[in-house]
Amino acid sequence: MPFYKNKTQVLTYADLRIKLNALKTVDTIYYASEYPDFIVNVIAAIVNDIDITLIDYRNTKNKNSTSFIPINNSFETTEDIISKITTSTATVGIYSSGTEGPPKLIKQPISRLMKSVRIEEKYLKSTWAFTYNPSHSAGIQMFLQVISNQSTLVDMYRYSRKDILENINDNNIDFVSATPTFYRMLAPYDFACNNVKSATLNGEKSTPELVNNVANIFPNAIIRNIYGSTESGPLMSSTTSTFEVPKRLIGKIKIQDDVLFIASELISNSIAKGDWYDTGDLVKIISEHPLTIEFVSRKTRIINVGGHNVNPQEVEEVLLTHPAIKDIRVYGRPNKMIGNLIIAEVLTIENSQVSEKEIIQHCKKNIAQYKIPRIIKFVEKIAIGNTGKKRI
Amino acid sequence: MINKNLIKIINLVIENNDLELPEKIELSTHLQNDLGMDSLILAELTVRIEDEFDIDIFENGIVYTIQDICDVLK
Repeated sequence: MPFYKNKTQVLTYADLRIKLNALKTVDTIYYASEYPDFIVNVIAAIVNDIDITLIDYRNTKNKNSTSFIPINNSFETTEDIISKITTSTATVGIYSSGTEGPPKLIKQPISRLMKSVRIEEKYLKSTWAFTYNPSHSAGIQMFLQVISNQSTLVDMYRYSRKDILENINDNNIDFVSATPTFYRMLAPYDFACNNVKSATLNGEKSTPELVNNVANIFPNAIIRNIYGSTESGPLMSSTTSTFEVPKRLIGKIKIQDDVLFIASELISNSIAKGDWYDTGDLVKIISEHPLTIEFVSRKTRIINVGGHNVNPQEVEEVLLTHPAIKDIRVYGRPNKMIGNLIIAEVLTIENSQVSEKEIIQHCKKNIAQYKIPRIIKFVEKIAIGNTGKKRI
Repeated sequence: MINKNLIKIINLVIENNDLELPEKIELSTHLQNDLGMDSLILAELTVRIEDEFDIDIFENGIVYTIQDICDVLK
């Protein structure tokens, strides 16, 4: 049974066991590329209760701070490995996405990360698309989910659209969990993968149009939006763009000045200060009973244009309704006259033609004058951060 | 002589913002009064000029006329 597959390599559960029984491990693990040794090292640290820090190789100049730690295991079965992971006292140091400002190091105990792992019949020996950066929170969560159910990970992180589509069909992928940016890369949505049972959108705000498109390409899948963060793990799930707050979170979240706060007890110990943690997410209350909310934007994304507040998320959503636009990034460029000028980077769907003026006209019909991007840059790629989210 | 690329940018901004195309663009042409540019359009114009000429257009203060822009570009 394979545990991890990529374009060129396969790591079976038997290989994993042999490697764990033989290996020295390290306390700082660099994720370099599609290479299974990274995963083996992470698991080695977890099963030996060693605290580790994960670093994306591309993000660091100092690559010499690793120290080797000899380990001695004698795992006979995969179940032995899983049972050791379940009781691990190790912590994993993970850098937050850094989509805004410098990344923060957050130490997560494995026991906390294991809380969101679901061990169920339907997950047992299933196949997952691996779409996240293995050195970040969502990636580690996925390792744990997959190994706990003796399932298979098929690497698709940073693959092209063509490779992703081939991989999903060739490997009979059951589960896809990815960022909205990942799903947007799959446009044009002129294909269908019938074997996918579930697809979740995670880590960024999604839109009803995108959920529809995902439902069309995975016609047999349940589609869900997930809300959570590196600090808290997944918190809420929904089949639409609004979230009904689950009973277990009542009293543990509050909304103040449109910002969502969550109780510190739900947050990693290394960053919790005071009773409440500011998520930085702006939300709108859709109904009080039952409490239902919708995410508006990241607080830090709000752009001041001549004294008006512009939510780039709103502008992006309007532009994404244009049929020729595959993905978009809206941001403010500092300007001495009006504070900031709204700029949009546009990635168009292959073989479609649209002019800067047409895009601006499309905005004029739908949003206020001061929210319209004044400059449209046609790009080959939307800048994506290390966690597979759009850079903002 | 007004720089050709500057003329191109001014025309593009006029076109994108549905402003009335003037008969002639001269050094004395006033961006707000003659071309009808508001502050958002002026900001757009200056950013486009900055990108093309790699220069901070507001280095010496706000610009009002084509002449002001040409002075900064020198």
